[in-house]
Amino acid sequence: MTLYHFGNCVTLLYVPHYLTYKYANLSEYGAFWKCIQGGIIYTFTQLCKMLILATFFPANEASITTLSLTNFLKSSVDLADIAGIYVILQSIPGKGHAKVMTAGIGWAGAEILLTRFLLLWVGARGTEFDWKYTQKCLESNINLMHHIMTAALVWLWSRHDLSKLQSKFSPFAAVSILLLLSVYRSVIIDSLAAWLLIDPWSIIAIKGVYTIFLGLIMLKYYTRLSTLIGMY
Amino acid sequence: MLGESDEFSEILKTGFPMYLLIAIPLLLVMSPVCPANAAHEFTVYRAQQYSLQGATYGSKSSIINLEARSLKTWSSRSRHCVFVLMDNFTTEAYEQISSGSGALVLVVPPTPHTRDQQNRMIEIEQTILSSDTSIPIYMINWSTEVNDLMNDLADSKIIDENASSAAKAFINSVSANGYQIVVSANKPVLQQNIAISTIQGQLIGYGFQDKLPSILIVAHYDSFGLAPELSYGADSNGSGAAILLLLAKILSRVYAEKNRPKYNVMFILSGGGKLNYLGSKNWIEQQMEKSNTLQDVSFVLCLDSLGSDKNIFAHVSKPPKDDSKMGNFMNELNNNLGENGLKIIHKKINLGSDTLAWEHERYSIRRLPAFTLSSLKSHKNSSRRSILDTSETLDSKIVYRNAQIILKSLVAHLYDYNTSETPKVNVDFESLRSSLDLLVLQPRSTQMIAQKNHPLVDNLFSLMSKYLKDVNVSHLTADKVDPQFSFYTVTKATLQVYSVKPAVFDLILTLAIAVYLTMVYFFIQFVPIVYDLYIGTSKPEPVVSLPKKNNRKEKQR
Repeated sequence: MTLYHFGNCVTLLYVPHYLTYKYANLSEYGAFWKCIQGGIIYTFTQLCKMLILATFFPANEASITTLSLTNFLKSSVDLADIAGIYVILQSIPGKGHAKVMTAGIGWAGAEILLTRFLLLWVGARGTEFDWKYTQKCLESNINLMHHIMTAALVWLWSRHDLSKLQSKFSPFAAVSILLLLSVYRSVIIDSLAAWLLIDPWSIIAIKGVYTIFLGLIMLKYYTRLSTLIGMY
Repeated sequence: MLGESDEFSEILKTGFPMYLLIAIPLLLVMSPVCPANAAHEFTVYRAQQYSLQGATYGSKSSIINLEARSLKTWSSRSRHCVFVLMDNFTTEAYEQISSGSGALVLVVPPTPHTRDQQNRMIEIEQTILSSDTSIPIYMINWSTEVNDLMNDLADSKIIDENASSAAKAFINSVSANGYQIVVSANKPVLQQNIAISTIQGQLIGYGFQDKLPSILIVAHYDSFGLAPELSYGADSNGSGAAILLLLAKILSRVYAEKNRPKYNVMFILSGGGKLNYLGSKNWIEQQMEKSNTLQDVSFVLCLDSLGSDKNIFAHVSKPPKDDSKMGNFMNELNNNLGENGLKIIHKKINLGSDTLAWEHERYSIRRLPAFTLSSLKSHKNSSRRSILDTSETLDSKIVYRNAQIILKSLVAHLYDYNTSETPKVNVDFESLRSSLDLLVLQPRSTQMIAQKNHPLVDNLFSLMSKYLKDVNVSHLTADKVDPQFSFYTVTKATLQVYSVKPAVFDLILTLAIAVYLTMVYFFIQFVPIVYDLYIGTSKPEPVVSLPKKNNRKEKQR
């Protein structure tokens, strides 16, 4: 709408990332350049994903929101994200929580820079007002939480001592299920929304609840493992 | 590791932030002002802007960048772009708007129009056409998107005088949607190289050409209406010009036979018919100067608006004597018309008036026996100058029937009512249809076709050349110093509709974002508490690092 509106959207988009970075005390670990390295790996991962998509799913014959095997396979390409986050975790010599936080924030930060900033610059500054820019910003906030959660899950999953946790249900299987649920999050929610014709605001709310819910379960395992290995 | 962490703060300590202070404004200045695409784009047609015989008419500007209002929410002191349905508009409202500094967009209601709607639209059209205003006036065709926009504007709460309290009015004005209307057309400038074409051709009778009497058949082919791009002029004068082309085609067959008539017939497709018949005027002057074609004229037959009714009126400036050639022809026409008969309407030429009533008056002034055949009873009928005159409202069956009667009478007259010699002539509907289509399916406003080699003029020329001899085109151009007529550019533009929010909305949004960010802040603080809680359930452990992973995010509504 105006430059002022653009400012509003940018505030909404970046301040939560900044707060997270600050209150995770990442600056004490010198994580800034590591976040940027994480971002570079993010970019590289997205390029690989695009190559795969362009090679194997050349025409977008069906809309993304319809349920079909092709769409399911297409969103399975998102599994590459896990590989990307894994690479970041491996290449960052950080310790404990900071490592996970760095991977998550680096990943989310690169995502908003690459996918949101141009959109806002072109869209929110124009004459036309549209709620979708505000919605995109809120969604990015949820994505930040989502990426940190995914990073923590990948970290849990890569730990050999995960199976040492005492539990009725295999912790390894539980973490794998959580990982799959988080990778297929957008396809699950988008097809649900298309099927039930949910309005955009509710979709954001559903995404938020979904992510918090997975996050709380993940936090449970994470706490137990970090306590087990004496990490804080 | 610690060293790396300092890099960021070191960057801040150098001149980097200073460079940002310069770079960001530069970036702002360099990027395009309005990069977003509008939610809706419509093609709009600008109202006429022209001058004729020293007087200027129509709307003088073309650029709009204003907020939209409906007639209801518009108030006379505000500067807004008013959207109004044409049949819902009044002359008084127009006068108020046109004296302000806003803009006007007229929506043409969906067809078919009732008689009542037509009358009101024509009244508005004539009001605007006869006025002279500085606000931009555009017309837009009805569509569902336009309708939605109109409904939104009508319900708009931006100015709600009925709100029960100040707080309510404030909430309404914050939540309301506004629309910004942008038309970024060029500034209207004087149209250069206007050349109004008049096409003539003739059929030469049996005998010594110069000694034969001649009959002139005249029809103008241009159209007129509030918006040049919407002026299809199907009845006036697509029907007359189509009948002229049809007569040329059929008579050319008659003249190809051995016993061809002892008359020369001259066909004139005149331009500028809506500009006080300047095309005819110019043509007559040229003929008077250079040749003697107008020496022995039996009569001049002008065709104008012959598609609306089965009644045909003959408009004359001087009643014909019964034994004159014109009188004979009118009698024959009267007989062929059957029960309705030909009604002769006598109206003296009003030399005091700025404009002539009918085209034949141009010839009558020069003392040529002339009359106009028309289905319209009065020259004051505004449907001759309206955008409502389109091919949809024209009944080609009536044009066909009128063409047959005129042709039959004309052929009888050419053979001096000698029934034994008169050949049988046949008009086929298809050839009338095709010449009508050539004319009425495109807007033929004078300014749009007034160029040398305009495709329509070329088509008419080649059609005439096919049937007639000595076909040529004469051009009427306006005098550079003291033009009799002039037109202005920009007949069509793109109107963009942006939905916008009032300025106060941005402030409210900022407040909401601040509240939200505070919630995010507490949420982040809350994560370590959950973490500690979980730890408490397993094993007490000193937790040094405050924050835990997962943070932010509130659902937000």
